[in-house]
Amino acid sequence: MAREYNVGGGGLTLANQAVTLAFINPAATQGFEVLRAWCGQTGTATSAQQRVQFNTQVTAFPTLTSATPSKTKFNDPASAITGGTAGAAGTAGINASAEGAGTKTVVTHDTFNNLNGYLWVPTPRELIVMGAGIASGFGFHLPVAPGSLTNWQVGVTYGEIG
Amino acid sequence: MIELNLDPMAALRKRQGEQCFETENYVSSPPALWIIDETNACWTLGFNPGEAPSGEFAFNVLRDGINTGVFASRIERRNGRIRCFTKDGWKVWNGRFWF
Repeated sequence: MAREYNVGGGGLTLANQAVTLAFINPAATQGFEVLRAWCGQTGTATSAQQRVQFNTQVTAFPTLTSATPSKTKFNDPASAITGGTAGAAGTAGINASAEGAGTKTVVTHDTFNNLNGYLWVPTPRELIVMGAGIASGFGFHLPVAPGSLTNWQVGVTYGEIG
Repeated sequence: MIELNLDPMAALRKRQGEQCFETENYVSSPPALWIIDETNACWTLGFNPGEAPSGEFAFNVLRDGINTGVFASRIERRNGRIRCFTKDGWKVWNGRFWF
């Protein structure tokens, strides 16, 4: 497999609200499939359960910290998706400071223990595919603020398709 | 535009500091991001795909960020031991190698 990229960050301090951890919006001519998503924290050793969602969101998109996708196969070209703060088509970002007014459509709900972290790896038929040019971006979202906001790690691995 | 040089791979390496803990039995990764054993080693799935059990994806199994030589679809802590599910079934870590 080739043309796989990571979007993420570490040591993040989250806003004390529902927060989109990572947001990737397909480009007009470049779609992607989500291969993996993960988050965890080392800010507290106090056990707690935390809700998490995958969703899609139409404009207005979240306000993010820009995150340039990094290659996992170093002979690959740079991703067609670039870092951006506005969640616009063809951009990716992390750790939203504002969620944007666009409607979110939840793909999956889940829950994890904050000490164990959360890793989502689909079985082959569970792949989430975001086609080129669609109006929605993919969000990895905490729908309620976590008890501890510091030292979060988050990432999404995607493969470009088409 | 601000570009941060943050480290998304931090979860794959050995954790340091006061927040280390020992993962309870019957925790499985995925959905857990990591499993911390009694030696404070951090177990997680890497990014390199390999031969998989039917109907699943499998990736290299990392111990403190270092390959352990098997591909598995999940890692589990059971009865104080680390085991993983490979195309050949469950394998158990004895502290040095899988059997």
